[in-house]
Formats: sequence, structure tokens, C-alpha cells
Amino acid sequence: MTRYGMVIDLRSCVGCQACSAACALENQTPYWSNKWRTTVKDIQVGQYPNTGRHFVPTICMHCKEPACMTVCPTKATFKTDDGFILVNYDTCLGCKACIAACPYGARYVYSKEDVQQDKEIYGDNAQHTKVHIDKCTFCQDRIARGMEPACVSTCPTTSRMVGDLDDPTSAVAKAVSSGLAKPLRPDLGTEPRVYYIY
Amino acid sequence: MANPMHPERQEGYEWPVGVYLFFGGLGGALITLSYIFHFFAATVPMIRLATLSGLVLFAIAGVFLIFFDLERPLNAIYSLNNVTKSGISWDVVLIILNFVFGILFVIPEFSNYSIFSGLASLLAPYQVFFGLIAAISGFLFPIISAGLLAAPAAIPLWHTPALPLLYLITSFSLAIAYLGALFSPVGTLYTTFLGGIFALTALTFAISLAYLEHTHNGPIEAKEGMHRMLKTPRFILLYPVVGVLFPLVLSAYLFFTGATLTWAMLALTIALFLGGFAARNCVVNNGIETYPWPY
Repeated sequence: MTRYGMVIDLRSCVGCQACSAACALENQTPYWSNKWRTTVKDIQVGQYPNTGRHFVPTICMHCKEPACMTVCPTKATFKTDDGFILVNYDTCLGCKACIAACPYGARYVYSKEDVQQDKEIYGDNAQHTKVHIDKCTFCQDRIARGMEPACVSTCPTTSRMVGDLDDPTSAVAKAVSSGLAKPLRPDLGTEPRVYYIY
Repeated sequence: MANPMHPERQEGYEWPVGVYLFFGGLGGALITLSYIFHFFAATVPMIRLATLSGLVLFAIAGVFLIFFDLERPLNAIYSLNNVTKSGISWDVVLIILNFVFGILFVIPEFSNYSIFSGLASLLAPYQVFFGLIAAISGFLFPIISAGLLAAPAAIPLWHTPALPLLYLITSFSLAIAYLGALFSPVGTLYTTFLGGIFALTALTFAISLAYLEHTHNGPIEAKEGMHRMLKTPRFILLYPVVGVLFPLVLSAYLFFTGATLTWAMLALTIALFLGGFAARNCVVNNGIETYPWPY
């Protein structure tokens, strides 16, 4: 079984938000409510004249030990055989425990208003018909069709890479095994599958 | 690159969860106390009122949980399928146990009403057993509920054993003050209730200080949440001042001097209720900060 992972190179990210837009169009995330499965944080640090600006794309880390899955009371959050963390919209309670448990702020409520708006915009093609807690799916349907996730394929600076973490020849595995790419908050023991180069 | 990310508030729990914690903890403590009183010198009206109040508060807590905070409340039924893993599922089970066994426990206390006499005599031999289940679930409810908040390491403001302990202790001080105000403003149990309030409020004070120390020396997200709480005048006034220091000083004075004031129990109850609710609401609202950048 392929163990997909993602590496995000912060050195080349230009903060264009193309990944956010591609994800929103692909997955009908509620951009109208400023809710995103992936977005780029624009962070300005320091004080004049010593200032800096950093772009930090955020996304669900699809952790090996996901805190969101442990707290879910209805087993709506589950792990696939490929290791992706997904949400079953039918059984999601909307209790928000997973939002609180996620250290990476990767989840949000796909509210009643968002569902209505989704229906208005996309009509019969609307993907979200029920209120639920929403998050990145790693574009599982695209992966199944042999494509890259929308955020990866649209990135103009190829800051995002996706590949098999168990394949030592893949760029992702090389970046991780060399120590160049590091996970966020490894101290929490969640073992994320998204790594950052910074 | 230096740590560029600042803590960010996440979408999450709101005031209904504060109400749920307040009523649920108080209800659980009342039912546990009514079971304990059952073996001592408590009057039948006290047991009736303590249990029924607890059940009503639990019902309100359940209503707030289900209708005001959950996005899809009917899906709560699925939570019964995940009891081994989820803290929320344990809470649901505890509410059900407390409600069912609390009712079975209190019915024999109404044996002098003809409508209940038949059922009361049927249940009376098992009353202690029913009460035990209700009391254990009532006692565990505050621990599990606050333990649920304290469990995720992602939220350092909540990630401490002090939170469940504080919630348990304040739930019982609230329950004792409530019963004291209703049944013994100056009666035979006055000193007992007063001593209980003093001891539990002193513990609350000590644990609150430890909590402050924990967040002060904790990660940046915990500090951020605590600083925001400490900058909220409503919280400062209602929790440390009205909810802890005032009851602590008043109960200590009355307990150690033996003075009797008819208004004291009522004042203590109001103060503890205000402080207890403010603490729960503010902690719930100010915890959800994330800081995912590696340290």
C-alpha cells in the first residue's frame, strides 16, 4: 500500500494562494465564508528595518496518530487503508471535538449556510449536502485516478510535492530521510505525513 | 527561520458547552450528595430535592449539549457505538446512567404518594444499588467532561490534570452551597455545609493558583489564552473575586468564629454560582489556540 506524504518547501512558496483556490474549486470548500482546507498564512515578522515575510501553507497533516480521530464520538473520522484521515459526512455529529483536538487548525464547520450556498452555486453537482466538520481529503479521488492533489498540481513554484514516503527513490522520501523536510510539532506524537522545508 | 507563527484562535466550543459543563457538573454532584446523605441524617425532602434538581440540571445539560451545540444532534445515537474510545461517548453513557438510575433511586422516597406507592415498594429493596450507580456516574461526569477538554495536547491551556480536578471540586462546592441555602441557612447542618464550602473553596483557590502557574510557565498558546482571560473584567470580577476569594473569606470567618448569619448561605451560593459559571465559560472560550510551528 502506498504511503502518501507531502513536502512543502517554504523557501519557494510565494504566497499566491493558487493552492487555496484550486482546492476550493476542486472540493467546493466554503471560500464564501473564508473557510479553507488549505490556505497560505502570510506572516510578517520583526520591526523596521529588520523585517521578514514568510508564507506558510497549512493543510491537514493526515497524521499517523491523529488526535481528531481519537476524540470523535461517532467514528465519523476514520483512517483509510492508505492512511488518509477522512470524515464520514453521514455520521458526523458536529460536536467540534476534532476541531479542538487538531493541533494544526485543519478543520472547520461546513455549516448549514455553507451547505445552502454550495447548493446554490453548484446545483445538482454540490458535493456537500449535509452539515459536517470538513477537512482536506488529500484529494483522494484524484489520487485514485493517478493525479496529484489539486493544490500540488496547481502550485506555480512546485513548492508542494507529493509521493510515496516508503519509496526511497521518491523526492518526498529523499527530502524526509535526509532531514531536510521536518514535520510540525513532532513533540505532540501525532506523526504527521506532511513535512516542511524551511 | 525564527518562529513566525502566532497563536491563532480556532473555531470551536462556545457558551453552550460552558452551560453544559456547569449544569452537568452541578447535577452530577447533587445526585452524588443525595446518595451520600441517604446514609446519614438527611431528611427525605432534602434527598428528593437534591436528586430531582440534579436530574433536571442533567436534562438541561443534555438539552444544551444536544440542541444548542451539536450541528447534527440526532447523530448522537452513533456515539453509543464508540464507548471504548471516545470521552464524549462516555459522557453520553454517564448522562443516561445518571438519569435512569437517579429516577429509580428517588422514586422510593415518594412512597407516601399513592400514585408512586406501588412502584416505590417494588424499587425500595434495590434503592441503594440504584443510588450507587447514579452516584458513581454523577461523580465521574465532571471528571470525564473536563478530562475530555484536558486530553488533547494541542490545547495547553486545558492540557493539565488540574482542569478535571478543579471542575470536580467546584461542582461539589456548588452543590453543597445550593443545598445549604435551601435547607440549612441556620439549621443543624449549617456548620457542616459551611465547613464543606470552606474546604472545597480553599482547594479551588490552591488549584487555581497552580493552574495560573502552569499556564504562566507553559507554551505560548496557554499564555495567550490565560492572558486573554485575565484581561476580561467580567472573568476577573466573577471568578477570582466573587467566585473564590469572597466565599473563601466569608466561609472561613463564619466557620472559625462560629458566627451565624442568615443571609450567608444564600450569598455564598450566589457567589459560587456566578464564579463557577464564569470560570467554565471563560476557560471554554479561551482555550482554542494553536501554535503548530516547531519549537
